[in-house]
Amino acid sequence: MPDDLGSGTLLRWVAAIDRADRAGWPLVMLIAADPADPLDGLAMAAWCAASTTHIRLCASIDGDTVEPFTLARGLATLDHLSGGRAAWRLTGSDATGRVTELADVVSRLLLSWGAEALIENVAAAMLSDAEAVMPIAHDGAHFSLRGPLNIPRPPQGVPLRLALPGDPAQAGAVIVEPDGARKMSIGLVSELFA
Amino acid sequence: MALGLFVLGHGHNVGAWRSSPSPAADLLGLDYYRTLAQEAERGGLDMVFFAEILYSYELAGRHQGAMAFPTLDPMVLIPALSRLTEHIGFVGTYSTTYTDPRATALKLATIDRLNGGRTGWNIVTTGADQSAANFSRRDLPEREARYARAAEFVAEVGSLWDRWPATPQGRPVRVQAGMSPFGKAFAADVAEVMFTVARDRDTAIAFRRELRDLVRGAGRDPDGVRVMPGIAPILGGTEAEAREKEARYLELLHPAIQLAMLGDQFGMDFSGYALDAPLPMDDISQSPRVLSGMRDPDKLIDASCGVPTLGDYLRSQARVRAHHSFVGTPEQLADQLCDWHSAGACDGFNLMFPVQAEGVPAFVDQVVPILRRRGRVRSGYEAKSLRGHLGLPAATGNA
Repeated sequence: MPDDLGSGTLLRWVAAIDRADRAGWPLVMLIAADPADPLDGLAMAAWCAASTTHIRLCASIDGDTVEPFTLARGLATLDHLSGGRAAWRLTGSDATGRVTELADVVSRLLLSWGAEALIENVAAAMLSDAEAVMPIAHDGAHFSLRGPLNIPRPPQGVPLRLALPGDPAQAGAVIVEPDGARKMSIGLVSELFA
Repeated sequence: MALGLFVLGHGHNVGAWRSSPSPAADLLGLDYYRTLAQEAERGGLDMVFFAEILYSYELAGRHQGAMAFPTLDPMVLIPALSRLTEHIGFVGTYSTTYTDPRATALKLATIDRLNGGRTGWNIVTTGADQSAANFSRRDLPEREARYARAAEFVAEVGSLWDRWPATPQGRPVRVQAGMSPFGKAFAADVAEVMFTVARDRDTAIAFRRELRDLVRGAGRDPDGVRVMPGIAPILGGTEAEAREKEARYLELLHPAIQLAMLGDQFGMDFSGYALDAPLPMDDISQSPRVLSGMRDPDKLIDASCGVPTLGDYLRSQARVRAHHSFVGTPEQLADQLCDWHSAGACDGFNLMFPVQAEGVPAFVDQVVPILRRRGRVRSGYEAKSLRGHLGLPAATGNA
């Protein structure tokens, strides 16, 4: 039931995700099934990251509109703040190849800081090693951008990227068990972890 | 009196990261930001503000390791911090030049639903030309074109919010910070909070009066806008202690950091110049950001003193950018905040501590109680939403 702030549905999801985390489920994929009531997956995942410890949080991203630099910043932030529990999934038609190019550019941005780039040399006032942070200089059909990202390499490097099994329009959430994915409506998720 | 905490890395002293035993873990983990937000909430502040930077500090393709990498994505950081707080509002910057209206509307609506109406949006047109290269754009669009797009963008975001399920505040609080003529005209139409740069009280009074006239001219009630200049306080138990702390903070600004900052401003490498020689004005006048019209080299020189040495110039810039700085006791700071507020210089302040881990608890423990005794701030939270904390009217359909 929506509460007086109009936040009820979202908070019901959140409660289910918290329970899934405590029950040891490895991953939740957040999908807005109702186009009239959309949600931002990265914001939801970040809200849940602050209250969970193990579950991986997968955000669905509209691959037809997002800019690679914006998406890379969002994913890097989520992966850092969650201690390496970010996951992502791109939606979109990819008829023009935009989604494929997007995934490639985002991955390169996420890796544009070397794993050893943070040197934290207080005496020399050098936080990071200039040799270990490199522009990506991408020039493609849909994007041309320099980089590098302005966030150091996330714990996973490129966070886990998933393809959705089945039709996203049918699903409220996908909870992944160790041996496979289970797709269910938000009602079922709430029931399962009640 | 409205109070916001502007969180930027370890503080608004660009060398502040050198004061932390674990700078990278602070900047990339939740704990450091959680502590700041919870401290600000303990002090009953209205909001925490995060800026957004869309490029990596570099020169000639080379990353500048001396400057702390700046901001995480505010629209990811804010929901996480909202979960760890109960009352305080959060304002995040998101660019109208480089994001999509639907995506931005969705982020703000989702966050406002999750945190129960504690969200604000700092609407920026992103003035840094370095950002354009990360968004498949050859050049930064002209300021006029950027503000025209911003106006359309805000209108489109508003119409999307009308179509989706209601958010707690109706509209997240709209914040603006541009002080150019275009920025002021835009603010007159849309801003509910205005972050400003004010070097002194009289400038602040004049600006607030002008902005209120513009807001009235745009058909809005000027009392529906909170003007909040930035202030950078350094507090000590005595004036001498505060000055010692100021000196300690200046030591954090290693010349490597200052040269990197200056390089970032002008797009030119200053590391090869002698600190005791005059500023290389001929070379500066040929630097990329001067040639593009973004920087005015004459602003480097104080007409009465002539061209300073590079070292002297860096020392003069060591305080917090152009914002008003304060060094003194908690009582003196409270006096000054109250004086500006009473004089009509502002409706509140955006607090920009040089070293946040020290400045925020000191302000909460030592300055907030004085402001409470004087009746300038609430003794606790009375409203649920950021709009409520700021005493702003309910949102209308206007954007």
